[in-house]
Amino acid sequence: MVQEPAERITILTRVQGRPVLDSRGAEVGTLKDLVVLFRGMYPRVSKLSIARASGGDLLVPWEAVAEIAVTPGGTTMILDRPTEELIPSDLKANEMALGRNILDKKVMDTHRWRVVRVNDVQLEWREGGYHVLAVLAGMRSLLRRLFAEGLVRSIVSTFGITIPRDVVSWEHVEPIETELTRARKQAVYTKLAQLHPADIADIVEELNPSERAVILDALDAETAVEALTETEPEVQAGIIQMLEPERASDILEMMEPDEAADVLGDLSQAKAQELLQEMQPAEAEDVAELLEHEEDTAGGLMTTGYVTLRPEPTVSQALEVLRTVADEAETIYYFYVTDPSERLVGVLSLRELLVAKADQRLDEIMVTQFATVRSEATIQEVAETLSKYNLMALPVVDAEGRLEGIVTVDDVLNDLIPMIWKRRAAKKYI
Amino acid sequence: MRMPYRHKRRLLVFLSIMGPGIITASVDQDAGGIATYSLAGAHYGYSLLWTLFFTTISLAVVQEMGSRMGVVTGKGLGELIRERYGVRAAVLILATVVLANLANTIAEFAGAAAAFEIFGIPRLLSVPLTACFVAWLVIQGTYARVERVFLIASALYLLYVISAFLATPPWGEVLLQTIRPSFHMDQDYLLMVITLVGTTITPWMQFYVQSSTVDKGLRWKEYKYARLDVILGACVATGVAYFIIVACAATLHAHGVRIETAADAARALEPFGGRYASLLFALGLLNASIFSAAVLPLSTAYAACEALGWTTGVDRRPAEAPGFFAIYLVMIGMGAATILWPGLPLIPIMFFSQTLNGILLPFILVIVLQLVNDREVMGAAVNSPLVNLIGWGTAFLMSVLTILLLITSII
Repeated sequence: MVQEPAERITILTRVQGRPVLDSRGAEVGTLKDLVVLFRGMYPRVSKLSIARASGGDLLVPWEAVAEIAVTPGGTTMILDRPTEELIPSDLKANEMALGRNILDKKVMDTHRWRVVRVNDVQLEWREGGYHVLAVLAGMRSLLRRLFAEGLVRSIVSTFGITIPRDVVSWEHVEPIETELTRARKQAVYTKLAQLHPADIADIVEELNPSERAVILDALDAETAVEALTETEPEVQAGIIQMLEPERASDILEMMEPDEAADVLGDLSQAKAQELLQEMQPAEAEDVAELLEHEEDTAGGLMTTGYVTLRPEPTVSQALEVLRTVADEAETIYYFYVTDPSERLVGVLSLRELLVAKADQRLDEIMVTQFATVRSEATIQEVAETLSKYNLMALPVVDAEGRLEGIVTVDDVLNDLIPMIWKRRAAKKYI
Repeated sequence: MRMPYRHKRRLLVFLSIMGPGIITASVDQDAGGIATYSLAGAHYGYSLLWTLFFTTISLAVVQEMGSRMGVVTGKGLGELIRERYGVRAAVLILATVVLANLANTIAEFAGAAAAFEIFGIPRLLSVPLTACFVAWLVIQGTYARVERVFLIASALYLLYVISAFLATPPWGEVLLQTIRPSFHMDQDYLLMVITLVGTTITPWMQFYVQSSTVDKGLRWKEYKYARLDVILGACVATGVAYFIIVACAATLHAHGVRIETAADAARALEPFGGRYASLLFALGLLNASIFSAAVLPLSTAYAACEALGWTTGVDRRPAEAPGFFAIYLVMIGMGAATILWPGLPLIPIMFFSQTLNGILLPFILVIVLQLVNDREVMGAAVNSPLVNLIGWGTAFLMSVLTILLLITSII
């Protein structure tokens, strides 16, 4: 076991480029990079990459290090055997070089839901080796990379200013791996996947379009869909466009039909057609119908994710049906009773269904005086009707009274809030 | 925020046709470009047309590399420089780019001032107003919407095509000069050639074309369309340059007029515009100047901040992205303030800023070529030998021209 060095905490750029000596004191080369093994919260340094003076790189296991000498100039690693007895090793699937894959690259900070560029990597000595403790971002580490620690310190003391440190514990760091830089065979974003989809969306929005797609592609389908739904509409369209058509259509199928229609509406017509054809016919048909309508009208806002019932069944039969379909439906606060020609004849709230007797027929308890809108109605009309009757959702019907879809209050709010803000302040949104 | 479906679809179809390559081509014709092409035509007649043939090939190849890097890596040039060369080199390279782009921004304000002077508005009034307008466009977030107006207004350059034909130049000689290279070893001539190339293939457009490709979010499978777009853009850019030179040669050079002010340059549009020539020229120049005065500092701020890891984005509040807005506003402020210096000649400023581009071009090209040939960055999509030959050849020739210029100015 190697003796603990005088500097228990160090940074990657302070050990990089330092000489590595063999057991006879001859220089093997300079330290090019540190390789870490992904296991546990703080990955351990498992290998050294040494740039040989004669050219080429040499990968040496950490076990070959005998001593770490800290001199005023920096750290010098001394190996336990002569140069010619060193056994070169290879990078394993769960190993990654810090300098090559982390330093100067962007990483995700799952604690503060942002993306930072890594200025340095902090290492801590524990149990006979270095472990990655944190990545350093922000102004202070940037200045230290550009100039020298001493200069940064003297600036701080001379001018009495504080340059804040920006340290992200490795616990929250998620490296971004693209197709080409992928160090691990299949990137698994375990830390990212544990976040709330809305927080994943915040992080994803800070990335470039292709990085967004790569990361959402690596998440499991359900998390990916939820996170995607939370991003801005323009971002959603961009991600869908970057994904393989099969994967994109799978995601669109899992989205609510109205959300999927919004995304497709933001794509070019050719691309939208391609994806619709790739989707399951039933889902594609729902989405295609919604695409026909102008946005900002009831038709453009409505969804087909609701539950319809016939007037004849009893309450207990209806509840039985609900148990099987409620999982799929966007709204279960209201149930819509239709006749065989799909004309809307009554509306039932969840409350009414729950308080009714089990053997009552639905047409005995349903409300037959209900508000509806036509698909051409503007968003303002929809909002006014919702507010006037204190409804959570409003059925959209055609000229014959056939049910076409429903508009939920949250879909209206999503659209109305930016409009209200825009009117209040001059601040614009792109 | 949602937009009506149909409206949005039309916009997207429009943008999917007018890709980054074509947009970059329009941005290429900025104040410095118009001034340089006009001077080339007025002072050298048709004798420089042959350079455009080679410039078109170089421009297409160089822009294609940027676009390919954008598609393959999904990252901007500033980011790639940081990731490949580390912090210190990245800061050094980007500081040079920022300074060169500052010179270009100054030229854009010179263009705006010159255009306003044709209308009789003094620069003391026009330049601060232009600066405020440009700053407001971006900070208010209205830029993305206004961009289309600028792009459509770029069609004013087509007037040069009409004017060139109406001026009835000796087409036989024009075509001969287009394909027959000629060369002189004197200082002014070398300066003009470097400037002509420098204004067509600019360092900042390398950053611009790559980041707009990244933002567009293209997949590798769709790359062939992007390449077509870039090549088409290069042809449009040099095509416009060609007709500016022909129009100026046929009207100004034929009568021995030397361009001292923007009003002289405007006379090239007389065959088409008659007495409205100055008005049309001023409108075109103003549009080009304001468009580029917004885009250039913006793309510079993006590149620098991406490399440094600072927050970027026009949709953020200035307090959220202080570095980004600081770079943007300082460039505009300094660009405008320089032009307020009393009695500063505007046309030479526009011209020499482009000379600086030409001198810096080899440096940026070498960096781009290194990155695009790095398998760790590009995988299998590295340059083909032919593309490398043209890329390195351009960098080499521009360096030789610069050295020759140095020698002739010492002797």
